[in-house]
Amino acid sequence: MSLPNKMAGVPTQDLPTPDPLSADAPLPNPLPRPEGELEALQRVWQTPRGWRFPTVVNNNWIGVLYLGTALLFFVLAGCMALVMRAQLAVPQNDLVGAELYNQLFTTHGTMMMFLFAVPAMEAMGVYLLPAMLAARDLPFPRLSAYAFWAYAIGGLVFFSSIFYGAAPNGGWFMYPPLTSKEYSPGINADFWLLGIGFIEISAIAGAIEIVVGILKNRAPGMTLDRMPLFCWAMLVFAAMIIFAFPAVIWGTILLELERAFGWPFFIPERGGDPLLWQHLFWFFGHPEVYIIFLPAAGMVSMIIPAMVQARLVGYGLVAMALLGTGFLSFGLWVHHMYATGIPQLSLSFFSAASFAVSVPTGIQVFAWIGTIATGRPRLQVPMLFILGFLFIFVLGGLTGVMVAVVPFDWQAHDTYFVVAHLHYVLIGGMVFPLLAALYYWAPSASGKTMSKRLGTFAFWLLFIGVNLTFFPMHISGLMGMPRRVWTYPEGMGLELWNMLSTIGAVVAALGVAMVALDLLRNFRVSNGAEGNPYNGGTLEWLPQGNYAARSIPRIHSREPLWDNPDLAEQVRAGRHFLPNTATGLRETIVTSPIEARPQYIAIIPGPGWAHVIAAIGTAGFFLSLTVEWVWIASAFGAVAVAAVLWWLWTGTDLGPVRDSVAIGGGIRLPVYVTDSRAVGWWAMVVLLLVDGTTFSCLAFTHGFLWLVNGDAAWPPAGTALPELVVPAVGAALVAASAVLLWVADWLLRRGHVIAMSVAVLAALGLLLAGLGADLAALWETGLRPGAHSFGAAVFANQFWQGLHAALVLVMALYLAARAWAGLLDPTRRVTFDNVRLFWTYTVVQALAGMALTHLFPRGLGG
Amino acid sequence: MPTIPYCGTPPLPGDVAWNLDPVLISALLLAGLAMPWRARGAARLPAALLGWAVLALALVSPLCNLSVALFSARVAQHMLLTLLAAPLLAYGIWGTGGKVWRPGAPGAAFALALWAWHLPGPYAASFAADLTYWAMHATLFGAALWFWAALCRGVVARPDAAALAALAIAVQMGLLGALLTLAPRPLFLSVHGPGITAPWGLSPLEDQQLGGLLMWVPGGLLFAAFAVAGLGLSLRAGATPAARPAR
Repeated sequence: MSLPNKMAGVPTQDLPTPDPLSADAPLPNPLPRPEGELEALQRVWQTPRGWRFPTVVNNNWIGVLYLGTALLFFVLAGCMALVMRAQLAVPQNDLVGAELYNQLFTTHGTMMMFLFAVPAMEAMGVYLLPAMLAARDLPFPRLSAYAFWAYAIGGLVFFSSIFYGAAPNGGWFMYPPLTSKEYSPGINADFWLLGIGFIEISAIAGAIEIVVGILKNRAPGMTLDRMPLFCWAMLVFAAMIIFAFPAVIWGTILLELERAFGWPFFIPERGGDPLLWQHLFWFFGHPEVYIIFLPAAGMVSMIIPAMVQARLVGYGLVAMALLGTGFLSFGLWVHHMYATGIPQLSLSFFSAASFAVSVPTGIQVFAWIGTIATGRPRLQVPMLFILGFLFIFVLGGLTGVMVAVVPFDWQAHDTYFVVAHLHYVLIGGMVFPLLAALYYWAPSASGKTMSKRLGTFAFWLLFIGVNLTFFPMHISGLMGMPRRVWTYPEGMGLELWNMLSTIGAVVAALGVAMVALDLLRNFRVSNGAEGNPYNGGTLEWLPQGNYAARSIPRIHSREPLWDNPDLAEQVRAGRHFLPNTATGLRETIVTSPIEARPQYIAIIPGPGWAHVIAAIGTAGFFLSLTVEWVWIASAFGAVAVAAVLWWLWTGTDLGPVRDSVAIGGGIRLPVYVTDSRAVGWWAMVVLLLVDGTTFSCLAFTHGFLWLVNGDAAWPPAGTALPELVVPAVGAALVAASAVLLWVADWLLRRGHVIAMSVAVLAALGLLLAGLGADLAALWETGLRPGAHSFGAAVFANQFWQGLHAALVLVMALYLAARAWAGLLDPTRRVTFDNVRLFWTYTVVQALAGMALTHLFPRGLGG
Repeated sequence: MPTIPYCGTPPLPGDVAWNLDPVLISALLLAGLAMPWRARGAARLPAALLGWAVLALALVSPLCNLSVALFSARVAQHMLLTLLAAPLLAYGIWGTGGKVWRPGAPGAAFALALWAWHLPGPYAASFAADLTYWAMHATLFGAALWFWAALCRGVVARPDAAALAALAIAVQMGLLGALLTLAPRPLFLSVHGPGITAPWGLSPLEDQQLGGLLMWVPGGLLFAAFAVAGLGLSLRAGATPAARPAR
């Protein structure tokens, strides 16, 4: 990063006047275009066919597959709901027993949240974002493809567990002690912890891709305030995933460590506390609601302007509302825990703060209504679903305000009233907008609109079905019918409402079947879809090929297609930037994060098997662990690591294959940069944010368990921490490894590549020795993880540091191998820079972790 | 307690005193007089003066005295200083233009100061010696000022980094507030014993919960408000056509 890159200055030198991005400048590229230019572009971006199809990475294909898989899980989880409604249709029914019913509602909720809602939104992002930003693809197409395959395989195996009676049965939020080994001895809970845990990792991979893509791959001139609102929503969505998902991943790790090895994080007799799980879970779970809702709101903000042919009212306010919602949602997790005996005083604070969330949502609703009022609404199918969304979501919001009132919540807690509320919010706030989006954007993928007749029919079935299913639940809930109970007795007045709900569920299912029928009849992915049937104003309606837009337009407004009617034709003719493949490889323009000025041309990888095999290996690893096939798991793990290394070796850090390339308008860009402009640097920084958040959860675990136990029991009587000498030496060794990395950097800059690799390996030795010394000192004092939550917390810290040490080990060896293979030099050094970033973080985290283990208990006395 | 804390002895209701320390007041007056020299512009000078007023009020008003009795009052004082006075002063003094400061180091410094001074040991120490009391305010407020100045400097040029830093700091502050709220026992009994908090109608535990909640909820709301305001600022700045060449 500190190296003055040879090519860094290229775009600024001899900058033509006027600025090639301004509207006054002539179009960047002249006509006629050279012979064979378009054919070369098509050849490079060709989709693999036949048995090679699984290697596909193009975002238009991965996005559609991703969304299709998410919709499949929606239907499967919906079928489970139908079975449950059939069971509850009449009192004392014996269609399914209590045990299967428990598995059904747990799996239904888990699949809807983790396998449908979040992936469906990521799928929409992967599919739509490159088109909206006029990028050729997102910056890491193999990462999206990897995330998709891991999710699809893992999700299907997770779903199939219901057929073996091995599905999780402790509720989608998996509260211990019910899910602890004592009360859930089978592997059902492990299926949730390992199966879902790793799908969360795939969600994070997708989020990293989306953040970097939105900030670095916009069309030139698309400043932040010209960005479509869907992109704003996806940016906040991905940032929220980055901060929220680590909490549940950390909680999952703790619960699995407790179940597998008896580390008592949640067992009160040994210093644990089940509430710790609830805090970690809801720290994720509350933002999760908005993680699902915000992209849907972003879609609505895109669809309404096209439907009414008017610009959105209050663009800036809506963007601010999206960000504000993201912020607020992180402070409010406790309002899911009103009934857990948290301090009385806090209830009023959280009740008041919960009302605050309705402000940004209200702003958006009024912006939508205002836009509809200023335009000329056309009652097409997407608009129907939008109107249905407004109706159902506002009703759900109103009951949300009701349950934000603490006394009411105590009354309604754990009843069907809450079931009604959450389904109104989620179906209204997410499913209806998604269906609107499906009907609205389908033509961009298939080239033709879906059936208006079938769509209208589906809408009314769904609208009536959903209301008929869930409105009666408000009443049965207020009458006292509890959630998650497999049957109910006769003569309590619940028969009518349950029967209505079941009928409603069938009607809604028919609606879903209509949508499926419409998709089967009228949706085929076509390469080169054209047309703009709803006259949208944003870039996804440009003529698209596999390479996305033929040339990358320069942007001067929020609705470029409305403001420049000739734009589509100019883009298709290749008159804007980069109408060709400049290097003969897949590539896209990388722009600066705020003003979207072109910075360099990123070469992005094409189809390959490595990421597919890596996904199979990853899924196989976690799923074999679930059933405790340790050796098979190790084999899968080895395959996954090997495949990832192969993928990195062949597909990344290609180096400066060309000096620089002209993209039109007199702009020449480098094809390789190594500083903070590089997308790889951004992805690593975002990954480290995920890592840092997880470490904060680790620190929170320490603090929380200390508070629960009191100073006297932290550490508990009879447990001593080691003298500070050995850990201090360990810390010094760890810190020295970071210093050696700077030496390695110095050597690399001077071209001493082999000496650099020696320094890196020596640094690796120092790091491992330092961490090992700390671990050995702890072990020698007799501290064990199983005895008390103190030891468990300390060793969870060690586990986390050890995981990082293992990753650094792999990275250091990979780096050395690259050096020996001649793939690293003072210019071609992205691999080194990224490893150093991760390594530096690992060192800082290790030092913080040692402070937590050794200094924190000592500093408490005061 | 061996010595009388800087802000005096724990007061009873109706008996809280202003802090009339002449050294502090003259230092504050000097700083206030310097404001127009540093903070120029139609928005920056009022912001700086408002920030200065909050700063002075937090240190001189009876809040100082009350914070000897109540942990929650001390948290309120810290929140006023770090979440109102500091951002207003930072905006007034350094503005949103000029050289961009990276928010990482100041953010980490602020987080470190916040957590360190709310651990039982260091917290109690700030009652024992005046020097420690001022070391607390100086490090906490100084780090906050640095952090907010970096955010102000970054909000137009790099709103992405500024928003991320603000979110990270808001989340860690919320976590500290949460821990203080959820702690099942009082942590600061050596300075806020039952006899001291009881006249104010609070048990030591309730007092501590109130303090944690002040940090968690109003603190979080303030952060959200600043984030939204910052985005508004940067959108307005971005609305003027970008005619500058790439760096």
